[in-house]
Amino acid sequence: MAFEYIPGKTVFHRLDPRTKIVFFLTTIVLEVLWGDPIFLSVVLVAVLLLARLCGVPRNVITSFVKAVIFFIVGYCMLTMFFLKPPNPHLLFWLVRSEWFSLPIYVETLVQMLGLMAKMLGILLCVRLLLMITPVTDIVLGLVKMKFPVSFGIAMTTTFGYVPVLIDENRKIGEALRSRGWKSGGYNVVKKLKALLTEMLVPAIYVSFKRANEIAIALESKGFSYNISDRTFVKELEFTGNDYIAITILLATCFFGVLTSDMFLGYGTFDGLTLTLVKGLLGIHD
Amino acid sequence: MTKVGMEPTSRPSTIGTATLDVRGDEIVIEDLTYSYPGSTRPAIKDINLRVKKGEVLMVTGPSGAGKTTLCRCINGLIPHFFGGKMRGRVVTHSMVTTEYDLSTICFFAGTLFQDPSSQLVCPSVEAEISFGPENYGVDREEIKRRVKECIKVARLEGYEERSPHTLSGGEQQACAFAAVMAMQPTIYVLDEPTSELDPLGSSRMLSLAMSLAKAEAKTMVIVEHKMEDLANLVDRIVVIDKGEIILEGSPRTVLEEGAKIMEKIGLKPPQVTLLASTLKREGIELHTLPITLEEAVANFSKLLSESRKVAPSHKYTRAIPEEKKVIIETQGLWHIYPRGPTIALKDVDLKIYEGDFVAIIGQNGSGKTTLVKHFNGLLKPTKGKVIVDGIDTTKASTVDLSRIVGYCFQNPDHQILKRTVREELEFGPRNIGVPVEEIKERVMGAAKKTELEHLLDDNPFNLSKGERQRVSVASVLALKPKVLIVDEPTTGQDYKRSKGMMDLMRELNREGKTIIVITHDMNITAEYVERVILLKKGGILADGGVREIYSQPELLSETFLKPPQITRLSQMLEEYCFPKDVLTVEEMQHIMVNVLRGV
Repeated sequence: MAFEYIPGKTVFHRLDPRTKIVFFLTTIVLEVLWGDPIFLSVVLVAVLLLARLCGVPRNVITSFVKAVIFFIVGYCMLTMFFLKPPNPHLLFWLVRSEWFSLPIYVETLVQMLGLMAKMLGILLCVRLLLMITPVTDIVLGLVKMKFPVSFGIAMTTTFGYVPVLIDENRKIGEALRSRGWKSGGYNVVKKLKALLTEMLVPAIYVSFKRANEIAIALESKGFSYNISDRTFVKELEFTGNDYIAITILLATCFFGVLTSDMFLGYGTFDGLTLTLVKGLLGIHD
Repeated sequence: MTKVGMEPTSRPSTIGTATLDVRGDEIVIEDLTYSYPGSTRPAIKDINLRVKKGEVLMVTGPSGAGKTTLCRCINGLIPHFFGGKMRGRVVTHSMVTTEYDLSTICFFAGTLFQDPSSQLVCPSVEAEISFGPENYGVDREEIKRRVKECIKVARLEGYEERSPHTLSGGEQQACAFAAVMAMQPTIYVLDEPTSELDPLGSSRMLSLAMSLAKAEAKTMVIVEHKMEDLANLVDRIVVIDKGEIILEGSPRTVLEEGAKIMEKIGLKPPQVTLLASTLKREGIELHTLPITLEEAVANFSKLLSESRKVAPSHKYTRAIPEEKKVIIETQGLWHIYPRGPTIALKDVDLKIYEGDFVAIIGQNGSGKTTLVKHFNGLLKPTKGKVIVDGIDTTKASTVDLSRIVGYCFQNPDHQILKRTVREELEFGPRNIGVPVEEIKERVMGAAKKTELEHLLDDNPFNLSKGERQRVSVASVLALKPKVLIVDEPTTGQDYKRSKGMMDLMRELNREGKTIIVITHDMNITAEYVERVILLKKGGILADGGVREIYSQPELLSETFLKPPQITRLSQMLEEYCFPKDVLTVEEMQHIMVNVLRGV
């Protein structure tokens, strides 16, 4: 399931949710500031390493990567085909004809690799955060960080709602397949068409119905009673580990800023990797 | 704001309690008529009802009679959430519902809905149970204490951190109930709380509710179809039909005086009551009309010992299977879900013959649905083989197998996708490439069989649940499968509808179709099927004729089931040599008449 919490007793599990939110924000800051594939791969490897240290089974990670990789690669390829950087250096022609040509530039290739590492890094980081922190704790952390309580509760129930929707859609898919419906197999266009034309109607109907039922359940449990004076059963407390982790994270953030466009510039997309590649190919500006 | 044991502050009622004349009643409904927005027909009309503190009230009636609407009026969802037109008034715990906030009313009136998964909103069991008290600002330590206690009462220890959506149906309902219990309401509104549960699971849920009512003087309003389970537990029964109260009184009064009316609107009294009243028509009268099994045993024992009669020695004959063609076969079938991982099926060897009418029964989570999903290829074996009409399912897709095995899902909403019933029925045959002319023929044939001809141009989303369920069967029949699987066809339906559905299955079976029914409904199974496959924890516990299996209550109880009430009555009259495998009221009536008249 997409938002499953995997209970564990590692030091990372025991960190305060606010620390984990800072970890998440740090990763996002790095992913935003950097564009260089080498720098971003380091972040990606760090997230993967952390996931293993947290005891997340390897197959959980691989199945997640498998699920998102087509989307990421597809998106990055499109970006590569249609982006033309200033002052580009041609690497080779992917297609070259009278009517249609697709040049591959050194710059776009490097940028695409960076983008792939960036997207995978962000997604894995979100996934890791949810795997080692119960959603209720994240919400509590956010509320303690002065986010509005109603936002927090809305987020909790949304996360509670996602597995229900996934399950409902699985059932719809099964019911349709039992009536000879072909979901399009591996052909993306056919699959999309089948999904849009057939599965959408029951999916929308059922999700509206479900959303209504959940709204009823929330109301009948006093959700809107006095939201600002609500009790949170769980208490949060910072420990020594949290302070150490936050210091490390802030230092990393500082390093990120230092290597970004604003200062040294090694981490940007025309930073370290592009310089290395150009050097290897003997390209001089 | 005080936290512990505090009653919610709210806008003061504009009508003072002095004028309400609640006389200590927890629920007072006066001249209530209500229509949903956009509807001209009232869902309930002219309802007058009072429920005392600590009283247990059962509300029953055919599907669509207005029972759920009544519940929504009591807990304030009507009119606060649903809007619509409301006349008359409802006073819940001395609060006129229109004058108070919904959340204030819900503090006193906790509600448990029919479908457990639709009311679980939190990511863990513990969070789910503490959610209500947290919203009401109850003290932290008090919440912790309540959560611990409720988890214990609902027998959910060890599941604290699990997502409620990964629990079985029975556990989910227990969790939803625990979440209501943790709010400590004074009124419990339970809307068909056991419809998704196996027989022993339902008994457990009901006895939990009863113990709360007795020990803590909680007021209970229970909407149920299962009169057999509730007749001896509730203080009063209210029968609703077409939005109006048509019968009201103690269970005994309602069952004694309302038998004919109930029969007319398609409700079924407890089997023992039905037996006694049919015997009365034959001139055999008991001292009192039994409404529970215990009463029936006492009454009939007395009658039999007075007449010194015993049944002739009985030996049930086991039907010898004829040489029939195997249509579905599983060989050493294992299925392991990767999550967990959970072993859902272990080493299942099974043969289903052409023309069989089989019921697959077993407790919640015993693997019934997992097993049948292998028959049309929705699931593939982790180990072992499934052969359907000579085809190994690992080598065929669900699309191919849908020509042989039709699968009707429990909830018709999952498969309705077209604007008219006709298009809906055409969908399947078109998918498998049936020629246009033949599609028309098939659609007409399927519509005729399911009595949907007059609705072919209607929008399926506008039909009643019973009709939608028939659309879902027809849409599968249009594929002309040899085997038809129906998943829980009678869940949440009244007796009349359940019977209608099962009559259709019987007819299809007589025409040569193999029918496989997944169900908890032991009475329906006894009445219709020939063969029963009993599952327990993913394995086959027993497989045989329905009489053979139902005559072994100890076997059934191993998988949280119990034989129909009439079968249990016969089993309890063993000392008078009654057979252990009586299946229906008619059969029991026949035996009883013969015994007492000495035939």
